[in-house]
Amino acid sequence: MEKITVSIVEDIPEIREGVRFIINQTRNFSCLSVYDNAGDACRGLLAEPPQLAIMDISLPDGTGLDCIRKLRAAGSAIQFMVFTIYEDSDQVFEALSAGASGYLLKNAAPEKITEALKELYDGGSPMSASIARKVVNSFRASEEQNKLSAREVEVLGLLAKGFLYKEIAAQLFISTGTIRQHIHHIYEKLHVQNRTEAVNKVFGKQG
Amino acid sequence: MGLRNVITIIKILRGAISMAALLTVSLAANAQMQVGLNKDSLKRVLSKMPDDTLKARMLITLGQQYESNRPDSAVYYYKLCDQLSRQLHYSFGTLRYISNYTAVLNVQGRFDESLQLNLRAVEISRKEGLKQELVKALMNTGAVYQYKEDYARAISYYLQALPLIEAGGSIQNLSFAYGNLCGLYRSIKQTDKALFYARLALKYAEKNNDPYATTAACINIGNALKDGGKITESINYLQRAHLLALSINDNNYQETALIGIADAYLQLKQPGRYIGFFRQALPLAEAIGDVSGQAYSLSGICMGLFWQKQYREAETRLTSGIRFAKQHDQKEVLSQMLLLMSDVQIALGKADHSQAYRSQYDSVSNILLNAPLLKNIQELETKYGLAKKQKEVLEKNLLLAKKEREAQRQRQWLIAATAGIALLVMLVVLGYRYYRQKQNLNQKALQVLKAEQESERLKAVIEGEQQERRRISREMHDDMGAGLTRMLFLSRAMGTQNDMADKIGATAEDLIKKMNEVIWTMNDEEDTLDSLIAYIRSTSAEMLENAGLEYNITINETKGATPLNREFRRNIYLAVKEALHNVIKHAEASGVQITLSNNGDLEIMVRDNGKGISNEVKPRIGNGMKNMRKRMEQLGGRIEVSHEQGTCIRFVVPLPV
Repeated sequence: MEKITVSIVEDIPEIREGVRFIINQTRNFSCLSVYDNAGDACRGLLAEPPQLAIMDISLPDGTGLDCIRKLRAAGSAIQFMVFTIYEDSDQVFEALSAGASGYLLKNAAPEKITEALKELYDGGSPMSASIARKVVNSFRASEEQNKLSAREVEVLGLLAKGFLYKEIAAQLFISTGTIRQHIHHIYEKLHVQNRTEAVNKVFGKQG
Repeated sequence: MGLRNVITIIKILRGAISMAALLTVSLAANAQMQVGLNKDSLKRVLSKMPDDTLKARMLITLGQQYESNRPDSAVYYYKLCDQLSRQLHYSFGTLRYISNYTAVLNVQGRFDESLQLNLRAVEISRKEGLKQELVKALMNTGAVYQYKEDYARAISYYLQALPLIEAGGSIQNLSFAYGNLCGLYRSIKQTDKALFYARLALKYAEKNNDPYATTAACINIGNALKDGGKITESINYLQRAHLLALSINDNNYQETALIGIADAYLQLKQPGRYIGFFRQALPLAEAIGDVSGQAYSLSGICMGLFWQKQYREAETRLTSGIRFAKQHDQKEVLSQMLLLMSDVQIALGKADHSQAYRSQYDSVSNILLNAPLLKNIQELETKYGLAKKQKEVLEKNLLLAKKEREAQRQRQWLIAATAGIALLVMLVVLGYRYYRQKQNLNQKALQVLKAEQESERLKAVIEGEQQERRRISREMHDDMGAGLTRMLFLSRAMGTQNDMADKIGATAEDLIKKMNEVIWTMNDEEDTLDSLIAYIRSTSAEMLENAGLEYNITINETKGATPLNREFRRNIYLAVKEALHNVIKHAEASGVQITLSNNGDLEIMVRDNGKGISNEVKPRIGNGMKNMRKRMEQLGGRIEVSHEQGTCIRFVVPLPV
């Protein structure tokens, strides 16, 4: 079976090598490339794209967010996972708006890292209560473009109230996997919404 | 003798085509012509783009990738751009469509369609006030008239464009304009002037470091020199043009340069040389769909074969060449090939065949030009036309001088108008000052204003301080977080058998968790009761889940939007966490019930089904209890502990108003 390729963008060598080790230890996954700065990462990920990329936020020459934005604008199909210490920081939400489909906590146990990668590859994404609230506000603030489905609104509402996936699954009679997929779709709509807004900002002035 | 005539005609055509290429390049370069991009990745990007103006421009770029080898595909994408631009009412896109599509039309000789479109471009860019686009449209229209040999109109359009270019146009456009003027003078057989303008064009092209314009200029100089009989010198420039065209990978220019070189050697009667150049030019002419170039190259190859006495091969090539020329209605070349064929047949000793081709030649050349008489009349007409055109050029020069005078007058007007406006602005400013002074006399209003200013200033200072504090704390958290994470990974790298490493790792992990809690408390966006409850809910559920306890969390309707400060949120959260910690560590319980409600006060109840607080554990949880009590006191609330089938801790805190 073809291995799932992953790239890592992280400036601290111990963390980068630690994650590379974890990935290469995982069945069906292999680390394609590693980068320690935003500039190299932007060029390298475009020239030789992996399927998944783990992206640190603060890098010596810029932020991972800019990197994600640039690659997304160039039409890259890489699934990005933000690598963060703080789950509730504004930058995580910004990255998710810019085009990331998930995030990974740096203090997560190795098996959790593996699990998160598999989940993302299978089209699932994580979301904390505070991110859920930001997503709700973001959709509320925008025009009715790219509306969420009734189910997605339901899942988002429960997440914002602090329910765990397991609890939501029990309440809505669906599997946790399905919930993760709903969240993945919500992120995709968030990307579209963000891009539309950016485009409107640029071209609205000319009209 | 007959062949020379063909060469002359082809030369004009070649001139036209080289100019067509020049147009494409000069215009497209203005709009960032990018060739050699990956078409597939462009298409991929395109398929994901929304229908906006960016996409319209992208369609043009994609079309340009196809222009030199698959003109049909190029036209397809240009037309898509046209449709989209119409939908979006995006005139710039429509203009880009016209300038690129007409370049293809010109190469294909469809001048009437090209003219209609270019005239429309002039109209649009005039209406929208797009100056650069107007220059392009005027030059393009002039060029199409030039192809149609309507030199009077061509000159008139160039003259409309020239003042605009010289006033503020680019070096590139100047080079382009001079190149076209060269073509114009070649057409009216003023070789010296043509050469003069071609050299100017080269100078500016080199100054602008533009390989496309340089190639075009070299071709123009080569052709002008050839017109003047300086064949050897001409070959030098055409060779240079060919090398440049190779380096920029442009089929149009390569073909034009190669045919030019071949034509020069033909004039020098060196079949050993020109046959090779015609052979190189042929596939290029096919690739760009230049029918006359193909026919002329075929004829040149056959001529070379004949002079090299390869009669058999000449016969075979001529047979297919004649078919091709008939098919595409290339009468001039056809008549030459028929004549040549008749010679070939004589050389092969087939007199009757020769006779048959000879009579075919006669009938074709009869259609073409009815005997030398007609030719003489034509020559006379040409001479008359020449004189007329020279007169027209002179008249246009006069017109240009007149226009210059007009421009001068306009400039004077502009200066006068500017002065008038400046005076008006000054009056307004003075009037405003007078008004302000009068207002300032009102002492009371002034005081109010001052007070307001002071409060604004204070607000700004406070905001600035807050921002600074936020920045410092964020930087600190970032640095500490990065350090702790590094520690965590270092400890993991030390291996699992090392007890110390494990402890260091666990400590780092714990600290990161605590930092996460601090970040949450510090975040002003989380300052509502809703947010607090959600946070308590998710962290409690996670704690209990990890500890393997059954749990049930009930939330009764709350006033969710109630704003809460950091201190309040922090104390409540930590108190609940402490309570849960006690249950997990000491109560030996299997299940926990958490209830949150608010009726004026916020009430949180944590009830477990464990063995209750025995004397044995009392000292161990004593500190935790003390902490919880202190936190409640700080908030003006209280803690109640009861024991009935386990322990129940109740926090009651008044919500801030």
